[in-house]
Amino acid sequence: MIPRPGFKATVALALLAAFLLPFAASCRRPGKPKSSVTAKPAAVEYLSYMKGTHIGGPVTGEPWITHVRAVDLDKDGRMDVVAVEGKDSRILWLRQTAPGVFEEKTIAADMRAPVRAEPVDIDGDGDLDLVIASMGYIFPNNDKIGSIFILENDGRQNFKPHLIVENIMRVTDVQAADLNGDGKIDLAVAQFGYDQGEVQWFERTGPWTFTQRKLLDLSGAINICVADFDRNSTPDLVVLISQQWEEVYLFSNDGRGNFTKKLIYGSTNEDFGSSNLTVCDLNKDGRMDVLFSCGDGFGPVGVPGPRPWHGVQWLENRGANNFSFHRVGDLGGAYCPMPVDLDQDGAMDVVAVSNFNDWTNPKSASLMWYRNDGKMNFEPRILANTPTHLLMVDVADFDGSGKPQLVTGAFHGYPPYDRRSRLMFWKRNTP
Amino acid sequence: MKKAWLFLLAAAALGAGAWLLLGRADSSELLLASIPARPQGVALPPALVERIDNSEQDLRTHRSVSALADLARLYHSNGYFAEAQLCYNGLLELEPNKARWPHLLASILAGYGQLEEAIPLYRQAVKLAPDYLPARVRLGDVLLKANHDKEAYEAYEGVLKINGEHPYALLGLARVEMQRGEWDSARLHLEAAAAKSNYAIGGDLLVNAYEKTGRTTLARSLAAQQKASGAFYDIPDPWVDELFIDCYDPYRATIASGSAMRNGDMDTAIRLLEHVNKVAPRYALAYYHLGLIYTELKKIPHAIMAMEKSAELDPSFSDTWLRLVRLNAQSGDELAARMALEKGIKLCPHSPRLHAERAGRHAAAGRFREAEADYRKIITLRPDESFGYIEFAKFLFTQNRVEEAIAILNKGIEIEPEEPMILSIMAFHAITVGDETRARQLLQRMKAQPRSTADSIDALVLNFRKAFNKFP
Repeated sequence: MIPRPGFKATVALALLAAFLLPFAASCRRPGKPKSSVTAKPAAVEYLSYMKGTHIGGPVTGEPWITHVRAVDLDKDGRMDVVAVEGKDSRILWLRQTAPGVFEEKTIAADMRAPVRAEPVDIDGDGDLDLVIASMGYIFPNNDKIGSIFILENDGRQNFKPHLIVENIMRVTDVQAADLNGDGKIDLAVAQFGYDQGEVQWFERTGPWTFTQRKLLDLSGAINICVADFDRNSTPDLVVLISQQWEEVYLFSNDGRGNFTKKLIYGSTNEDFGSSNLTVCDLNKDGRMDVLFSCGDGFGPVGVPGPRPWHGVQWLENRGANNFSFHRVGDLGGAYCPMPVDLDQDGAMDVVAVSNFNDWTNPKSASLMWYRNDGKMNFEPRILANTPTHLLMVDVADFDGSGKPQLVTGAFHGYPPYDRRSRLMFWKRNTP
Repeated sequence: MKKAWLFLLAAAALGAGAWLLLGRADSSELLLASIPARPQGVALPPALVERIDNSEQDLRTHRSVSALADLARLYHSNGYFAEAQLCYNGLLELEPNKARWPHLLASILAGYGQLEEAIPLYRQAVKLAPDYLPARVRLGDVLLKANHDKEAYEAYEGVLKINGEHPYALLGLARVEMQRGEWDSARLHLEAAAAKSNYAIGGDLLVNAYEKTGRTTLARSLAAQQKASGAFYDIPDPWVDELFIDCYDPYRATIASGSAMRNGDMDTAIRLLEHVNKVAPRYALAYYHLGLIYTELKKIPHAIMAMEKSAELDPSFSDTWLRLVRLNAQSGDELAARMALEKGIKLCPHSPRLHAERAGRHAAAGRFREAEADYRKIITLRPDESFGYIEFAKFLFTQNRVEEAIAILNKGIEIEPEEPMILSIMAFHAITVGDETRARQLLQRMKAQPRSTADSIDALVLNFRKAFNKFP
């Protein structure tokens, strides 16, 4: 038999109940809703932070610059620019003859709608050659019209083209590295195709000959990058797949050219618009991260344009081939995010350009700086809204001042054509 | 003792009352805390501002959950996802048994690629609304993309238990199998997905599956039919799709209409465009798309009216004029077609398609000199596209100016290498003039291209055999 509580105990119980019930109610209270993970601060205009100057040839017609790369091509101690003109099928060298002064020269023509030129000493003779990815035709096409060229440098910056492969699915990116540890430089190849596409690596078999090794059967490969993600001292590959798949794949290398595939990111938004990918140690933790953008604005309407989700994001390498997604910031029509400590405060910032922003609005950003506060929070700052339709940006210390400068390339593939550029050099106004 | 029990009862009643009151207060507090701050740095359309004002007012005055739902809907449909998220977080707490809230919030997160956060929300939606198949398919998709292959497979199988022919679930299974290298079963599932969706989905991957399983003839045939368009047809998802009827951004609403049209949901596509016409009556693109839909539905007078309105609002958009020309011709009003063509060319003098249309009409009417001028104009306007070269060459062939036509095609093939139609015409010409080596080379190049159909290759091979009495 359970003993009845005494009067004092009953009063104590009653008081306890009166006290605890409301407390229980407050425990049920969920409190303020969870903070929004996609909320990002509004962009602030920093239009006078950098000054842009046109470099190279004049702006005529609607330029289609598909790639820019800062590189000291002639190794004279001054940073130059290699640029790719997709419409004219030309590879350009903008040699820096004096600080901020560039002389343009065509170093290769008839490159079959090229979209990428990567410098590498592929023949080991001490000078920089160029590996060229050519789509054959830049706008949608499922024909096997892609090709790869290597422009062999004779040491005096005269380039002899070697056609490595042709009549393959349209090639969008080629990177060079010794992928199987045999001492010879191989190629990592992204082939967008259209309805069908693929990712491959090309094993070097001779001075200008390669054997193709397939890694993935998916259309829409835009970029492929080489880096040691798992810190086993072998080059791994990471690939951005756009089209309707919107995925990032990691190919871990055992050092002998055997790759293990892992899907490390994907959006289920078929209109996500993946546009570019690069690799860097963004948070400076010693591991290579992935920085990528979405901003392709072609879609199911007659006029291209931005989407609310367009912007820049990074995949933090957490080790053991695990990656965490983080948003850097919004940017309609975003392309080509590049890591750079622009304000030299020790934290790695990001710059990106826009090709598909809302150009009917004169305030829409075409060049954006995401300033890192040192805790991986990025404050968006608009560096420019003119010219429009920028597709590519690269970063380097062009004048030896120790400060980073930018070079941009524009692709005017759709109207309006009122704020055009071709190649521009951007330098800080402020000291 | 009795007194003590009375005291206990009174205290319990007090506690329960306080519990109820505080619970209500909590809900009220949560409702108010779920009202997002207005988006910074953007000028919201006045009509949207008014509706947000009304919803907020309703929420503050009546503490109404439905007002918060309205707010969520307005922000979500207009692309203010951070604000919508805040509303959904509140709704998840206030109406935990409603599947729509986790589903809609998950759609935002998954759209950004925040899959690990989307997965539990889609799971919750599936649990609460097990018959809502888009949630199940989406769950499979996010699991697949987050590398949870086994669970993704199970999610897709769950869909197929309810609808055994669901094309998106079949595609999902195939994608998991492709990841695993199980190409035979992937092929079967892709065949089923493609067949069920009339090749809207699955057809592109099926080419790969045929190749991987040694069915090269099938792969070639399917690739040549070009059934895939390079665009994905997203799964119809009524809970998400219906949001756009509250979208005040004409561009976004028009995109949503375009997606609905691609999915064959013409009613929704039209409804969305009519909504755009109300909220942005001077937005030409919406009328253009309305015209496209009516054309598809073969409602030609409606299509003409929509295109005329589009042309009136934006006379510089050449596609509208071309559509007007063709629609008027289709309806038998040649005079209106001609007038639209001339007006279009006057207002859009740089449109290659309009010049091509006029060139074709000149040629058909025997005005060859005028036709040639228009064909040359196309090439001048778009020297980097093969289209003008092909059209001009076809015209030259009809004029028996064969050598000129071949010269033009040679230029075209420089612009668009391996263009199958150019290769085909040039191969036929090589056979006709007896150039066996050239004909053989061109045939080989044709065979290497996915777009070359087996029929066109067979026809050329037959001609080759007749001409040279041997196989190419």
